[in-house]
Amino acid sequence: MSAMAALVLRRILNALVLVAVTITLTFVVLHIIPGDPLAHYVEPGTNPADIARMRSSLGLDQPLHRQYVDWVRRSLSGDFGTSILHQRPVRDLLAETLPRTLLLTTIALLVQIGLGVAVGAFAARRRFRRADGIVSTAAVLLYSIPPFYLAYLLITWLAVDHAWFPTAGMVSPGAHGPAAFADRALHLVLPVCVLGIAGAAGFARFVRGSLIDALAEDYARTARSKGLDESAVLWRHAFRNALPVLVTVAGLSAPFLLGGAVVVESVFAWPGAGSLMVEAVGARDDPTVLAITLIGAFLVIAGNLAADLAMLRVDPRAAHDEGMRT
Amino acid sequence: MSSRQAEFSDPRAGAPPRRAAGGSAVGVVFAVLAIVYSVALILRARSWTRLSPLEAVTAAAFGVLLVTLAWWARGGNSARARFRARFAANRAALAGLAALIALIAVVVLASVWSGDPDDMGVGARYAPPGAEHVLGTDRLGRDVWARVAHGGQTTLVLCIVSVGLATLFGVLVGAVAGISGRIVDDALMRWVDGMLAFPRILLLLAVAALARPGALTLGLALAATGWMGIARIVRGEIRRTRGREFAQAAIASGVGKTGLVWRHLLPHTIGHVVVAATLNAGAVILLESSLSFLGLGVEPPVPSWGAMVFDGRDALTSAWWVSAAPAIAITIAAAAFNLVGDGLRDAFETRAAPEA
Repeated sequence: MSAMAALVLRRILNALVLVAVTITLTFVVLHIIPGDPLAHYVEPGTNPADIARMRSSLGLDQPLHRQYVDWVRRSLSGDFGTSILHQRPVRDLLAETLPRTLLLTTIALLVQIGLGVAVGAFAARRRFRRADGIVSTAAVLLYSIPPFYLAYLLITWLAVDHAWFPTAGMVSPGAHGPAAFADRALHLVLPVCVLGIAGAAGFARFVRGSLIDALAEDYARTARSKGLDESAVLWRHAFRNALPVLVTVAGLSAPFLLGGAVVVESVFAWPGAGSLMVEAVGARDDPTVLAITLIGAFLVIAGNLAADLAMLRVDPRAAHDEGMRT
Repeated sequence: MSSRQAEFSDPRAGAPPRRAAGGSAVGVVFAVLAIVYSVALILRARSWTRLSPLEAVTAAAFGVLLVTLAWWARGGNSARARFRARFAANRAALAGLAALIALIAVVVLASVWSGDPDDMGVGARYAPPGAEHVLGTDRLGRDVWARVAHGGQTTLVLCIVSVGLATLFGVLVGAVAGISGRIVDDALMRWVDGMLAFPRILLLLAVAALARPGALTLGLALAATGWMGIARIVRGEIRRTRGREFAQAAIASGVGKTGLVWRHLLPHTIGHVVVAATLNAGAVILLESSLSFLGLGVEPPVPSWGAMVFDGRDALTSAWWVSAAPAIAITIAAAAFNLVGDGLRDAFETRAAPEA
């Protein structure tokens, strides 16, 4: 099991290297883009001494390498300065909004996986036949619909015309107890649908592809020849073998879910980090923008690491193969 | 995996796989819709003005692209003939290609065959589709068709420019990493991995916040965030093929590193690169519309599909055409790129023939 421990350690080390790379990249982006960072905040005709004071309070008078060290230290300790828009520490804003975004994206991920596996398995069972073609092409069309328009359609149809769901926001004022829980759940349905459906359409194609590959393998033929029916072959043999790939792909969908959350939160006025990002970009609130960008990357790295570790768990062969290679 | 290998070694691999019959049905419906939509747009012939330089550049770029692809696929080489047969057997991909060509035709000819996108007709706000305005008018009485057609120019030009730049840069980085030693390779690939860790839209938003907004910034930002996938693919393919016999033979006959990569290894990656670039174009269409929708795309007076959907949000039921027309245009464009990309990938790969 020590080979396994070494592998786990290496994955974690890789993730830490990536964290360092992303911190460096945000610093480079901040400094590569032309223009004075203060230009947006300083009124014309401000006393030069005041500008100099602002400069030094933001650390902009320091040499570049000093600023870099400072940026690394602050991003690792979560100290992203004060939001210009809200006049509060960015850390507090993130602590407030990030859990809401994670709630939305986690549920959307579950919907994506559940729906994607169901549709993908449906198509794989009927591979190269009419139903498969319809489902596969429909999936491409579905994820080509701009998510904000899909959101508008759902709002108009289900929230305005039928009033089954609230149109926007996270809670209705004045709900308490179990009613409050149901109210929150209702608010989640439409945003999760928009976010999850687009993801499921993409995920279903991977499920279909890897199941079709697995069903053509020798072990599937063996399973069939020993008398198992097709759905047992699909779920017990093909799916089990396709699982490692699917876990990896699910991990890789983290950036798409987080990116999609930006648009979906804006449409549904969901008070999460995505809405905060759009608000901050509009207000030129650079500290908040950089913090959310970097935290987004950290979350993606964490998601990929989790998927990697899960893959080692569901596929002992991977651990064995890699152990052999090193 | 070893698609090229199979292509060259197994003479039976060329049989086009039986494609899903239902896909073709959906594909045909889709193509008909796209073409009807495009023709309906074209029929609205209004003013006849000369093509602007922007449109000329777009038309030329697309022309060159399509001619290059056609020329490449036409060659007498049997691998290409098999590629052609497989692509032609994939009706969903053909439908996507047809939709793409129709859309490009509409968009390139927009200023020839449409009215002024900024003209606010007197007293014709939210006019429904009819003889006067095929796709109706918007909140300010502007012709929706003219705006969809002109908005498409913005979107498609951004798409070509950013995907082109991203592809060039990705191939360059991938090639350098693929042929270099461990240290350079590791450094470049960590850079790629780091860039891939950022959700693309967050990076684009950050650039929008920090830089001066505008079409140029947007194009560069879309390019700067879209090259990593291609770099990874090219690097992997070069690592895979550089030990093969033909590469060894080239080295033995005195070809330098640059010559080896440029003349012997890169041609092997072209299929993967074209597929990745096509799928990237589909993603760019959606991203550009999302950014415009968030008010961070091109500046307001320039029509853009995403901004048009946003403009129409107040009248989703009473004047559905204002938002539906650009939304359908986005969907058709993105789906067309995705279908063509998938079709190309299937055509390049020799999958096991489907069992009965």
